[in-house]
Amino acid sequence: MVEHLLPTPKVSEIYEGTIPFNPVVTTDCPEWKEQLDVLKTALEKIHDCAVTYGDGGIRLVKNPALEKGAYTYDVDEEVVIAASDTEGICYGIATALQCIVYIRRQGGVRVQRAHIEDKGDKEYRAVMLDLVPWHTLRQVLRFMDVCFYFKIPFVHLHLIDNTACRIPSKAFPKITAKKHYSYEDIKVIRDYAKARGLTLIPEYEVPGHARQLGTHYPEVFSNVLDGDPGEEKSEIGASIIIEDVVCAGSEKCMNGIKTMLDEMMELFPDSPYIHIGGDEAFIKVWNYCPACRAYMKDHNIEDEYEMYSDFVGRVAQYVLDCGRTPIVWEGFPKKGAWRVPKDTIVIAWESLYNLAPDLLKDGFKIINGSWQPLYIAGHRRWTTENILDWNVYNWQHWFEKSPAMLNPISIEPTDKVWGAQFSLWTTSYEQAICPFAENASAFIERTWNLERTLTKDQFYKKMSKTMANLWEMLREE
Amino acid sequence: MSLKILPIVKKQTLLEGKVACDVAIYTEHALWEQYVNTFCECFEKLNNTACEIATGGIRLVYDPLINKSAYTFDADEEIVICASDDEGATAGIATALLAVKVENGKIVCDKAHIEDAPDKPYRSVMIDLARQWHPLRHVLKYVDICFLLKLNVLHLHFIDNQSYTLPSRAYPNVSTKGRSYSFEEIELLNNYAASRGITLVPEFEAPGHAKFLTNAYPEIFMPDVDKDAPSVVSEVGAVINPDNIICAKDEAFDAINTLIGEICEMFPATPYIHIGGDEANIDVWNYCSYSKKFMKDNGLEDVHELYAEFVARTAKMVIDLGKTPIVWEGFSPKGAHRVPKETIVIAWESHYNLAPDLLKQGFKIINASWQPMYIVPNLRLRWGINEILDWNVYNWQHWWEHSAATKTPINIEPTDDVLGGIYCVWECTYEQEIARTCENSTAVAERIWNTKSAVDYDKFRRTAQEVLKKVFGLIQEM
Repeated sequence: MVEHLLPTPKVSEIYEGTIPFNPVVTTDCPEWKEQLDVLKTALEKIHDCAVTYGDGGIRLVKNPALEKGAYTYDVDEEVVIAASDTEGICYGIATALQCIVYIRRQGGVRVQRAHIEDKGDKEYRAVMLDLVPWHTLRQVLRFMDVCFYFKIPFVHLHLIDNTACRIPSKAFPKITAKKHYSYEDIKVIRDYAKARGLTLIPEYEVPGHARQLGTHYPEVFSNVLDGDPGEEKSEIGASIIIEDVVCAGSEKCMNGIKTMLDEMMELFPDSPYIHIGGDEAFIKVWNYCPACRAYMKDHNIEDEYEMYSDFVGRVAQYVLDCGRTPIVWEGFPKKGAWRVPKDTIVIAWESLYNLAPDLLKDGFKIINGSWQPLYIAGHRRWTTENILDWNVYNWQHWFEKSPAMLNPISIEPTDKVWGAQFSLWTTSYEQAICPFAENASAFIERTWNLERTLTKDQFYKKMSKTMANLWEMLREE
Repeated sequence: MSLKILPIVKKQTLLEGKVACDVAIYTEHALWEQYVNTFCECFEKLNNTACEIATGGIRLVYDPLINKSAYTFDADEEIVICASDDEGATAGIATALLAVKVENGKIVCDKAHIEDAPDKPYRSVMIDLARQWHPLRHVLKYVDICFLLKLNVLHLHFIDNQSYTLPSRAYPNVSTKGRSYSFEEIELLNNYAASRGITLVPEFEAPGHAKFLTNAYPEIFMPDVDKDAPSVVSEVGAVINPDNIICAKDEAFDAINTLIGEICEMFPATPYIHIGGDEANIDVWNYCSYSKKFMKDNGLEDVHELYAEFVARTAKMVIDLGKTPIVWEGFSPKGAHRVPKETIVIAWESHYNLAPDLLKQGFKIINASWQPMYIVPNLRLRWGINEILDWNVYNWQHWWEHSAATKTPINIEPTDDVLGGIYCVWECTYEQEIARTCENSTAVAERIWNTKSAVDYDKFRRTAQEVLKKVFGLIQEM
């Protein structure tokens, strides 16, 4: 029902009465054939019925007068969804999937008569999927269904970490785990995303979280040490070892990284953004590596912190040289931040290494990835209520070392905050899919609409209703 | 420090140090080879290391001196599991899977001595396969979850208004197209459950929730009602239509007998058959000529008596086939004398027939208190680990205003006539239910295995997090 739609549309007028759902779809716009099929398949799945092509049911219409990413949805005699671009029509389809519902008391699938005009506030609304814990191809597509259903257009794929690399590599085949996505699988993922208006952002993580590179190709990627750098732990207490960090001084290592980035860009030819990692690196190691020390000296780099910025800067510049935009995790410090190209977009997540206000001051466009409440990490997660209480200009944390723990960081609204990202870490499909879908519904409500309009109870009521069709859509036959 | 095992073991003595052995397991008991196989399968999945069936590793030993359903787990000089029966052996295997890990190519375990046994014999999870289709692959995952958490009974709600998911040779039209299991799949399920020590309880639902039957074979099951026959609304607002109930006539009972016979054949290992018996819109019988005639012919005073008689007849069919019938609370105290006392009743709604009354009527019962033991799609009716830890098998709660347990929960004195408890997952798809089912099942298992001891929430949660890693690891798809 329109009243239960999430995210809440900007303008919605609900008229008296419902019309029966006529399972027929059509479009006057040939370039939306794929989207029409997505609509058809989803309706068949949700309502367990056959849907055919033709007039009188749902019509996708091109309306050049509408803004980019905007759509209208009108129900009178038939359902008419209009947009000027593919992004907008996908949002309109998602609206239809939520609004066409089985009403028990009326004995069938019905459509509320209504008029909707809608557009998201923040352009960047993303989900990150940690695919390092193994997920089957089918499961990856199910996560993308959730993104589609809730109008979350960016899907960031975390494909490599210390424990495994899930993509193939021709140049460094040993890093690829036995369980991985083949070239064909990646193509399936890309096509599935494209048909749903989703933009994929693949991540290739350096200099930290790179154990697969360091252990399989130490001669290319590893630091050669002449001293003992000691130990380091991540914020959740995981040990960080020397092999986790690549050498920042050797040309061979940087060439290896560029080769892998080339491969990544080839795997995802239509992704305008490439994520290059950049977080939680055990940089102290570089002080014990002669190649790194020599590099620092040659480039007037004072210490490992400045070296961190320089390294991220070099990788980011390579991505820019290839015609794509780099995204990095908050990780490089304030020191030497000038060495990172300003076109790099930074995800402020930990509120520790480099705070959102400082990143903005340094001229970066940023994404809000606030750990609290936007992470699901194994069993650690927040409630939909926590997410409703958050906004894109707000950062919170539970981690004692983060300044945001005792005093959440809030900044003035600015377009330099490009949007927000909801991240799913180290968890299996079974553990994650339900909390993921529920929290995604709150996340999108707060990023599509910057101004909060729902109380906890109003949101809960909507969510209770609007989840039903999503579960049907995800169900396996 | 202690080994992270749920449900919490009855007695655990931690010793100094660790024991290491080969990555292998062995038993001399020929009938337990399947359990050793199961250990290997699960171990490999959880530890990414192949486990051999050979000596030099864990030993599974038949020890007749150990009590029924109990087991011991010793990790000292070597790792030895001892039990005297299948339930004890599989519980011991589950404990071993939670206790050991792999280090440097060896199985390693903190040295400990464990003695453990359940307080209640019936520890169950129910999955609704009729309202939402679950491919067999998903059903097998529930067997794994039950196995690892020592929930020894998996109850499968195969049949409801929405579909009939079992195959039938006698009445092939009852099986819902595209949403029913084949005979081969049922056999596979049986074997999978047997190798994990899980008892399957198949449910055949009658006389209510039977739209699929009445519509598939109207000439046998459909009430012959006039237009005035009423619909009623269930506690969650579901409309119960006249065609949701089977009429009372001899042909219908004969067909039910055949279908139940087929189900008994399909599930030869189970001692129990569930015959439904809840939320029947029995007022419809007042408008049905067959049922009115049946009441008159059999000297039944009203539809309440007919309800009890209906349940009694189906229960007797099950008993005649050599199994024990289980029913939902549904028939009222009036006419309860008709229902054979071997019938086990699941007290869930605290409305139609209350737990203390059922016990007085002479039935053994199982606790499925709606609150906190149900999962339903409605997000407002949601209980978590803490609420389940606060519940016990002698306690019934409800949120529904018409239930007798709403304002004041029902509590009874501990008795062996309460056989255990059941956690019911209703109307959800696999994606919707799986995380919550796994999480809450840790607490469910705890409260039925250990009915007496109190637990600390925080400590329980920390242990549950570790155990859940293994549960989710076991059901992960590769």
